[in-house]
Amino acid sequence: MTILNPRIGGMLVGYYRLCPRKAWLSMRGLWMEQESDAVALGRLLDDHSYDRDEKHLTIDAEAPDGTELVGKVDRTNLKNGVLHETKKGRACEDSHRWQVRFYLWLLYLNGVTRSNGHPFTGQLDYPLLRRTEPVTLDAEHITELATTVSAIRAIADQETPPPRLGKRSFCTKCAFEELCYG
Amino acid sequence: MKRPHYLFSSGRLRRQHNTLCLERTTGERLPDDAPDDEGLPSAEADGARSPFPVEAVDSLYLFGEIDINSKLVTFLGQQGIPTFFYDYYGNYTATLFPREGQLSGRLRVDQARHYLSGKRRLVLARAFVEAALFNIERVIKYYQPRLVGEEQAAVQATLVELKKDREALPLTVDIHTLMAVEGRIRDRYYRLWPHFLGPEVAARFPFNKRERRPPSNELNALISFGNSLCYSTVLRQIYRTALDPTIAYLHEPGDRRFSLALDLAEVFKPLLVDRMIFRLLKTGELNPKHFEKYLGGCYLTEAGRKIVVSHWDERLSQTVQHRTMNKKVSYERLMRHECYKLVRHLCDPVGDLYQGFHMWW
Ligand code: SF4
Repeated sequence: MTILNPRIGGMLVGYYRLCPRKAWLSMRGLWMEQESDAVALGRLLDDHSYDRDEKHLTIDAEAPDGTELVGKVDRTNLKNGVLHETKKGRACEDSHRWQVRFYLWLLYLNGVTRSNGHPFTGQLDYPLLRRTEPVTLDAEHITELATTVSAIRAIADQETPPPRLGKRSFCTKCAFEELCYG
Repeated sequence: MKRPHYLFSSGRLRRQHNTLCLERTTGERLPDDAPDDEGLPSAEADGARSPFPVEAVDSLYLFGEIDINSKLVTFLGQQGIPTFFYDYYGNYTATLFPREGQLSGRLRVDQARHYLSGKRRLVLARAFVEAALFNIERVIKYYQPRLVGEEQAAVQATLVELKKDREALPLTVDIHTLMAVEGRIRDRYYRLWPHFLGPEVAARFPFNKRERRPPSNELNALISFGNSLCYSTVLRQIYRTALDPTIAYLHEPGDRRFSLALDLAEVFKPLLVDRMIFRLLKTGELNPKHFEKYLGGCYLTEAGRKIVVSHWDERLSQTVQHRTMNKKVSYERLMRHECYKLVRHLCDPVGDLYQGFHMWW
């Protein structure tokens, strides 16, 4: 059974970078997030941390291979040309970065720039740690994102899930742990 | 932490802002087959109110006569709290199931596919029976060393017969023959119960065969009540996953509305229900005065039900060291894992074959 025209979002890209199995499971609607306190806290942070700012920009685009892409950005500062993504902690930092790069890529695919012609930039916000980290998109990232999206599309067509990651230290922190090992 | 809440008193349960509140009423609950009833509130409020925070409620068990209104139903639905209703006799009668929270269309299709294909269905159904048998043997072997003479011989003989039943499992060609083997296994097992209980207890609680509707004696009453607790506990775990509780493999989807819970409960009953029964009877916590006869059946009294329920609830939160996850998990959580194992099988029946939970201690 295949998933026709999956719409691929930023979180899925982040998941895939961490663990293809996690991406596959979540594409099947097998969410584990609901009960996890960490995720509830994450949602709370997202909702309440920056009340006065603009929020939740949705961007659609089409990848070079025709896959439909959709990005739901936490918070956009149009004046400064910055997309913000709020996270709780830096546990899966690299996947956070890819998520933001993905949003920047969507703008790039739509040909959107700031009024002065410069591209948007991204920023990861860690309010609990009182830290931020800038994220930019370069040509290599663009190639990598296109490859990632094709790979996600390929596993979406897979009947069976990709194997477990098998890195126990990593899996014990994953919300899907019990679904994989319980 | 969220826990199930068990309400034995009668009254009106209502939403009060963001808490639940039981307003108790005076008066006894009448048997549900007593002539009544005009749909009026059951009795006068006696002024006693017990509010409890909804955040702490995992599920509700209503053993008393409880009036509810649609606001409460909506609230329980929003909060994802399944509610189980019991009648005057302690028979489980109904579940108020929140609209599905977790949903996966694809998993549901897989579930149906495994039901519709005779071969795939049999694989899962056999796995449930196999695990139930394993756990039954485990219980038997736990009591075996304490027995002597004829009793010891009877247990030995049964173990030999059970071994033959185990060998018959892979040869079953359809659900019908599988069910027959399953029934045989249970009969053999129940015949040993008087030995496990010991002569004194067995004399007070005679038991020859399993009779459900209505339960014919104290042990049958206990088994029925214990099994219904097990069923509802599994059900509330299924509810937290994307599994559809109506599609089952060993049981027919018509056996009960949520027959998948019956399938999974099979696996846990020997460990959780049966051992609880032995324990409660052998320690004398339950005695004949905790049972009553009505209309040709035998039932637990309210006091008896309270004892069983509190013991059950405590048992569920006991933990064991998990073998692959390398941490302690509660018995209740093991039921959740059983759901996940089933999900894995449905996604990948070759690479992740379901094997029912085997007591490993
Ligand atoms: S537990 Fe491990 S294998 Fe499973 S989804 Fe998470 S990271 Fe991947």
